[in-house]
Amino acid sequence: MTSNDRNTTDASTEVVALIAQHQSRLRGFVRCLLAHDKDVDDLLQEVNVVLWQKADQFEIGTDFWAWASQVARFKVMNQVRKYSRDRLVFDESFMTELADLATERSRGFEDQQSALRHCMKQLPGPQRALIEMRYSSERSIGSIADELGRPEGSIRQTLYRIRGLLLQCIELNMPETSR
Amino acid sequence: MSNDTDREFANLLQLAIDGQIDPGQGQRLQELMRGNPERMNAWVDHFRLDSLLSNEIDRSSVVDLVDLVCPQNSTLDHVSPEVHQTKYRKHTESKAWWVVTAILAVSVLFMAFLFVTGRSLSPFASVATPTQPDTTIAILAQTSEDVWHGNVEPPLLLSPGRLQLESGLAEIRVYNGVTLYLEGPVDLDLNSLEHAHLRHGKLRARVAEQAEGFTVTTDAVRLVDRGTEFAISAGDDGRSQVHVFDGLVDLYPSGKASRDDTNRRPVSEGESVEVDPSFETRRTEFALDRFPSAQAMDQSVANRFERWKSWSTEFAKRPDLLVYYNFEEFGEKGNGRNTVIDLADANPINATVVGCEMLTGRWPQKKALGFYNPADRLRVRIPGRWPNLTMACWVRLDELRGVNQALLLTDSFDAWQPHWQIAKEGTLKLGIGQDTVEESRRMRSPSTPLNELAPLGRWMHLATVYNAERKTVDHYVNGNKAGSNGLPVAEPLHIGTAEIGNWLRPRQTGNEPIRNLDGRIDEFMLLRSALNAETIKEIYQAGR
Repeated sequence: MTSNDRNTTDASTEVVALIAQHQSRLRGFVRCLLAHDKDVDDLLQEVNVVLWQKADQFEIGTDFWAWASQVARFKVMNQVRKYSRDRLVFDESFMTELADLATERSRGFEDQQSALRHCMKQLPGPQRALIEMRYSSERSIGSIADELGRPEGSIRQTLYRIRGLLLQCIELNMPETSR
Repeated sequence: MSNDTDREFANLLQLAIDGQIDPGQGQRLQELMRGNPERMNAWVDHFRLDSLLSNEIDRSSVVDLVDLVCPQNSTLDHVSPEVHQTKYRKHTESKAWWVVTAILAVSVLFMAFLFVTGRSLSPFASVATPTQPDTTIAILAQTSEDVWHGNVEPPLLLSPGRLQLESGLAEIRVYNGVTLYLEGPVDLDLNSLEHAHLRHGKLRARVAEQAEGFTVTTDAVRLVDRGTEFAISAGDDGRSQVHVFDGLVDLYPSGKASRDDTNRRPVSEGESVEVDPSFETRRTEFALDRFPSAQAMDQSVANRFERWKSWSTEFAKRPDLLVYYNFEEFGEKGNGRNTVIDLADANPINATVVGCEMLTGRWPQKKALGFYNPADRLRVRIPGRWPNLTMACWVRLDELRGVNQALLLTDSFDAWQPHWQIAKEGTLKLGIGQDTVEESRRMRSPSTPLNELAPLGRWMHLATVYNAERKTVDHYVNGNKAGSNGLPVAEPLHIGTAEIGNWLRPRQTGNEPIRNLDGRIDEFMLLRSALNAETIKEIYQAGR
């Protein structure tokens, strides 16, 4: 193996790690453009494949998120163009607006993550329990509703309110630079 | 910004986060968000937070990801590339695992290539692309005089989505046994097997026992069926009317969760109520005849068929008709079992049927021939040489197979013999035989791809016009121009013995031994004149 090959392999390894680190951010990005869960897994996988294929084009140390979200946006748009008219959820021009916004607001993700940790601790017990119930094993609203004996709509509403509180809290606890 | 729309937005966003949104609701969300940065931010933020939370709370997946992507890790040895084939599972953790294993497998393969070949090869050929799942939930069973928004016809099999019928009638059978009768103008989101949202207009539903619980919502009301036949309308004023023909339905305020029983308003057989957006209900008189029904559909279809029949009788008198088959006499006594009668007045050229099951055509009363099996074909012999030739037919193409599919093919392909067919590229084309293959190639004349113009599985009208003097080949699909081609040279065409819907000569080479159509034909004509766009449109209008 030549030294050149060695460098390529190391760079690729690093990109694989970056891809892994960005999975959840990419997932949120793709979902907010598609507005439904269908196709998300397949698309995400395609995005990963492209990122990996083009790993040598990525300069380590530059903005990986900017690059990855571009690739994801491209894949989503391509997928949506294949949809029949009656499956379209958002218009293309609107999706572009959303994608711009989502790219922008996902910056400083690492800081958001640590702010979230801080904010979770401040949640009152029952609210925190509900959030953990929902996310710890990706439980469906239906099964939580059954367990708690409350209507699905009310569970959904409560979770929505808690997410709203968390978002406010994260906003307040972000370092000045990445706001 | 009103509180109501804010609440509506919040509700839809909650559903979307849980992956329970349909395209109709998506469009509504777009309306609510456009030009409203606050809501757009909320949309993006909630999705981002949702994935942050999954990441944070379901931490194991993240840790695994980071640990495992490190190639020095010994678990590498246990990862087999076969995991590519694994289907996604619902669970987040499994998803994360899948991604990890896929990336790992890919990187293992990739490095193996690097080691073995010393150069970079794409390892992705082995990544399986999951096949598209079938998302259809209903069939467009019958239409009559239907005009759709933007002139875009829905396909035969319907996936969840919006249906905007501007005029005419449509009968939809949902796979669970619900039949919906629509009369334009109506704007409907067919959301799922269990739920339709009526944005505007009216529909009638017959709900089979197996489909009890079928729900129709409007802006004013949520109607849950209890085994019945009912009609519902949604007006511009936000009010809805409900009439129950048979059985019972339950009304609820729109947007309320199904478990909330306090506001239930049952409506039983023979009862009519009007509901306003605040869920005030009052009894009302109902103009039943204003609602679409099975009878209205049958009547309209029967009228349509009769009108076409009169048109067909008149059309058969055209002096420029070479061949005109409408198959209505086929199978009738005295016509011979295998003979299709040419209805053209002068010099009738009857055709001989080989194979071909008799099936229904554009309307249930109409006869059609099916060309699904290798044997299925219609044999003709058409003498003469024709400087102008119009070929037209009504066809229901069930599949584009990526091979040539015959409409009218001459047995041989000698100089100036036409091969009218659907090309393997999915276009309509008129091949014209020449002395050499080189020369034949120069006579290409494709149309726009058919699946861009008309949905497969629905009846469509195809026409191709050859004009030797102007050296042109023009194609039409459903009365609209679908391609214009100039030819380097042009002489009169001759047909001789030929086939409709197949090709006699079995191919020894290539991957298309059989050229049967994979569809039905219920009307076929040849004219020895070059019909203009207007006349072709008229033929289409008379037969649609």
